Amino acid sequence: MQKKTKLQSNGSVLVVGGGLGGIRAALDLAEARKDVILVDKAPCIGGLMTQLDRTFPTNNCDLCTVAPFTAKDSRGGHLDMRGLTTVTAVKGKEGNFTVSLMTAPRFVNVEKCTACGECQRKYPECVSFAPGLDPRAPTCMRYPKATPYAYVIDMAKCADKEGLKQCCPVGAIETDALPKVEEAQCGSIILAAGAALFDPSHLDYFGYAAQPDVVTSLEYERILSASGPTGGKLLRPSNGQPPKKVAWIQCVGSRGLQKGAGAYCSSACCMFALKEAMVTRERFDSEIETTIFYMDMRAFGKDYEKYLNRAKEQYGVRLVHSRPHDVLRPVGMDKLQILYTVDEAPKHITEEFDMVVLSTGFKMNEDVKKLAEDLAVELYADGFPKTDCFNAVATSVPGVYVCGTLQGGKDIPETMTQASAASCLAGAKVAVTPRPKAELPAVTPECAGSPRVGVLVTLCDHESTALDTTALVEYAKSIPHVVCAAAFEAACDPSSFDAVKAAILANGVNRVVVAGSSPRYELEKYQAMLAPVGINKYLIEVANIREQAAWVHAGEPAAANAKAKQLVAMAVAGVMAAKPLADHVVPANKNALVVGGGVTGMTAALELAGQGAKVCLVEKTAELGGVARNLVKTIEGGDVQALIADLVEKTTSHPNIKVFTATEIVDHSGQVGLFRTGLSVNGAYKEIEHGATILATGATPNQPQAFLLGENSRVCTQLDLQKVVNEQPKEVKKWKNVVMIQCVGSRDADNPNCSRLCCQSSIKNALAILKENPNARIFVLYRDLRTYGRFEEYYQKARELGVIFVRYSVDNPPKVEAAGHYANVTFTDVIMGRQVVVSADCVGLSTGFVASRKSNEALAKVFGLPLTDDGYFAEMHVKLRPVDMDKAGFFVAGCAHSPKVIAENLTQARAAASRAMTVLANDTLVQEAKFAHVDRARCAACLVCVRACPFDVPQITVDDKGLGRSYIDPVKCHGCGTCAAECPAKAIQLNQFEDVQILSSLDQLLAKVNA
Amino acid sequence: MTANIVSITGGKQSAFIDKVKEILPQGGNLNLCLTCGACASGCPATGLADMDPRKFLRMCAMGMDEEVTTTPWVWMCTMCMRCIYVCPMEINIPQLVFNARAAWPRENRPKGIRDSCDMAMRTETNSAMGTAPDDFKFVVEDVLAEYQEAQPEFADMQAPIDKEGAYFFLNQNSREPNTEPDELVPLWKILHLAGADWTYGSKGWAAENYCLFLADNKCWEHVTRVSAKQADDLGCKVFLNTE
Repeated sequence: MQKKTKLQSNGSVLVVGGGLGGIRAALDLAEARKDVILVDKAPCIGGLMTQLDRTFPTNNCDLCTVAPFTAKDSRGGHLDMRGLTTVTAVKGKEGNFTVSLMTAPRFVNVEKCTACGECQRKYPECVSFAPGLDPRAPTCMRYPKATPYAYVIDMAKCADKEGLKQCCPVGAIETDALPKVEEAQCGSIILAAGAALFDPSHLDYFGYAAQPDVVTSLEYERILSASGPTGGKLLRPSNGQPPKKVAWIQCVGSRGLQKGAGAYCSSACCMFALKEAMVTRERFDSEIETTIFYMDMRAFGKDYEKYLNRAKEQYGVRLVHSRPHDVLRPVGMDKLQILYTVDEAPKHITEEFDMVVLSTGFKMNEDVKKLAEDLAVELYADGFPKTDCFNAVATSVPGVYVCGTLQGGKDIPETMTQASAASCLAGAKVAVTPRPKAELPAVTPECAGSPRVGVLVTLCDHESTALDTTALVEYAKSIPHVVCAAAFEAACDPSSFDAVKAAILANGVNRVVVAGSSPRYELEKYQAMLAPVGINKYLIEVANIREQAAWVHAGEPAAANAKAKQLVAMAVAGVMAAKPLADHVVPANKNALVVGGGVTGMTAALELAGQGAKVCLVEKTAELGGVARNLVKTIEGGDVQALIADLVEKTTSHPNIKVFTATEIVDHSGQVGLFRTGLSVNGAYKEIEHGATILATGATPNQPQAFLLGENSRVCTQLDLQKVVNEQPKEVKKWKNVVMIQCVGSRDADNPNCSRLCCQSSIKNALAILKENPNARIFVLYRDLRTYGRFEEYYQKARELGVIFVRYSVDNPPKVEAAGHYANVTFTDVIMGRQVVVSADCVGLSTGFVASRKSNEALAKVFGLPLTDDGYFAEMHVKLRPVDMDKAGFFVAGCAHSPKVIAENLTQARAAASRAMTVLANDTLVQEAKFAHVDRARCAACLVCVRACPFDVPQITVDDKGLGRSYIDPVKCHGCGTCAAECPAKAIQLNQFEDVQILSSLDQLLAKVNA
Repeated sequence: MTANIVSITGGKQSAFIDKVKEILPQGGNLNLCLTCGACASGCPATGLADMDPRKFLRMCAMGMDEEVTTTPWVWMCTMCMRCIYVCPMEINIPQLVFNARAAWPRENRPKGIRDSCDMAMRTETNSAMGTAPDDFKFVVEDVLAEYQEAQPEFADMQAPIDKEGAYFFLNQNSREPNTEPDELVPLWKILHLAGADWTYGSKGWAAENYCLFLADNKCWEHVTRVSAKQADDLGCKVFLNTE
């Protein structure tokens, strides 16, 4: 951040809503050193995700991945978090809003409350955290590890105020507390207050109001959840028995025009139904039959098609293309009957189920709608905010941004992306506040003293039912040098950290083994948590007993427990041999490299440049604009060429952006905050330094050999078709029949995933054809129509105008044959049970996108980054870190991540910029001690390390004795360990992973064998 | 499946479905089908004549006018509205079926329905069974007297015909007075206990409406006007349609 720009004002960003999106937006801002006020009307933050059991596509709980970041210690001083708080009035405009905040009394002093639960036990009639299935309320802990970790009381529902007050052992209950009203100055506002869920009570034909065994998706999540009303047992609400057959009915309250439904698609329900069905079979009973009744299975996200295939093939989830007419429970029966039909034959099918889950979609939340109206934000008729067609998080009011399900139904990854994008735009409006200089803990003699090992077992029960935690703790205590061992309540519980720290101090522990889940997610968290009690970060070892014991031996508790013990013993042996190491603080480079000059890359570069970062934008071809240059308009009517022209103009003229066209990346070294990248600019070598990197290299339009593409002049891709409609309207006016074929070269063996954008692009083209020629007959042959979100309304528009959509099955694809002047398309209409032949003037193939595999592989090699099986760049965590990459300081946006429409690419560009700003906001960075070092006395300068290093770091240098020996620059070393493994003289050791540590672990494992 | 290939060539022609769309509000949403199958799942006539509502609508959409205007399936529909009640797109399939019936030459429509409509047209009572005004009057008075006597608690019960200024005008399916006269009584009792001021009409009392089911708009209008006129002439405020 070189200097403040005029746009920035003093003040904070107000984030309304403390669900996953609000938390992400607030943390991005706080990490980029902007002040944030996060308000939520609920007593604690967490939102909807905390009520879910597990979430797709990882099918993990992942609360432990989220909760610690919201904990008290981790907000860096920039985050002011307020529960029970609503926005009552807003004045002013962008850069200078004045907001009135009202905080309702909690009636519990958060500072005093120890969350002992005594009030809940004494006044049980008043306590609940299970929405929908548990009618109890006023002291209310939303989820077990809530932040803040204290209870809340609804005084209106309390009959015995004095008794309640007296029952609290620490006197934390304040029955006379009053609401608090405050004003705050904000530069910008992010609305992230989520959405409401459709209430199906009035749909009498689905029996929700009358039948206890008909539940909504959220209620089913609560039933599955370990913190739910059944304590994590899957039981029928009617009789408490486990169900044998469960059905899901999709699109309840979405994709409808009557009985209060939204006309849009809620986008997430297909995936959460698949998840619920998979979890049901995986976790509860693989004998439970699971059936999903659907209209279109919309698995359009990154790798979601594979998830769908896994549900069908690996988990045996049955999918039926049918919307049932009704759910009844005949008198005298305890089972539900679903009445449905199938495509193949006109007949009724009645099938019995024990439970029916209604996949209820999202609705605009009335409170939020009121706030949006107060802010004068333009809304659609259904209450959701209108956003710019190239900026999905910008409302009609400057300085007011939206993200998550408040903007429209969506899943967690998209919520996280929008949240970061909103934080990028909102953060540009407020100033950076200085951060106190980081002090690194020194390596003290104590930490290197005689080993006193503490073992922490941190598994949550519902993740690891196979393991006996108590036995594991007892075993750990018996290992020599282990001075204390304890089960640490849950990794997602920030408050239990305090107990752990106390135990460590009391026992003089100087080395720690954490028996929990993957060190990839966990190690950093424990390093940060244990630093204040003097544990050197390199003296912490993680034994991954979740994945490696509990999960892989899920059905065999004996094997799982035995292996967990071995893993802990090995970790203890390893940590005993570990050495304390010191990290170093060095100045950080605050520039960014953006690779790819399409609309995504340009947008990312402009956002970064606008916040003061110097940006190098590298484009392989001679021109900026990328694949979008082939597009005319978006489905909403946005002018793509005007967008590109505007972006190119701004990018090339921005003083903070340097554009390199006809440029390739040739080499790369360094670490986050200190990268060096070599470019070949028109063939000439140039090296640049940067602190963060955004990959926005796009994808390649697919050109499969299918349906006479390239052979018959009547057959073209949707991209070509769009051009013809735009450039040759006279030709289009002559057309009588047009056929479009979806999923050509997508969702097949060669390219297993869905290209996501083709359904809307064929509808866009169909609407454009009908505008020129209203008499044209258009047939769209599809497998599942995936017009998620508001695209559904264009699908409806196309049908209204007479476009006929015909479903085809992958086993019976359409046929295209040349027929003189026409191309004849033959397909089966399953509903009529007949073949149809259309003499088409034009056949448009939805060919979608494939990864630019060759160039991605080359870049992945240079940068040391992982790709997915399909050749797209792999993000760090598909759900919670969708634009971060495994390698710190690297971010991915746009079609390089997976194919998507322009607006979504631009949202990702802004999200990546936001995430990059969290890195570039640092003036200094921590140089990790994890690097390879050479024992020059042992080195024979054999060059093995020089050749083995994938990053060309080792060099032979001459020392003061005139001897040439290998030298590894700690700044450039990636710490991969390849050289250490290859060195024939064992002259190279990798800090934190020295041979002695690994050998000690192995000796421990093989002790009995050796003996 | 290959037996009846549907061939689509040349320009769009106005089809049966387009004409129906023109006469329905919002075109009856007839173009909006998602082919989800909710209608077919719940239609009592699904499977009859190898047809169901979704298939019927799809054939209309494909312009297969000859088949949709000749399939006897349209006469198996009971107009129960179970399809439109659950349809996500609120598609007016019942109206589509009605208009498909209307596309049949009158002489080809089902004889039972047609004859019933014709019979109603021949008498001012609207009775599809041809019941004359006097016969109806006789049965009503006879049954009423019998119940007034047999059940003293209903001694005051009335069943008036052509009572001027009554609040409710009640119609009545001809089947009861003709074949099940005792079935008339429960409704009288309810009206009596509720204290309702009601009357039958000597004209237009028959409630069955075969002309509607025949999709004969002209005759349907005629019988409706006969009933409405009688209610108006008597000065009734509310027409209670019992069918």
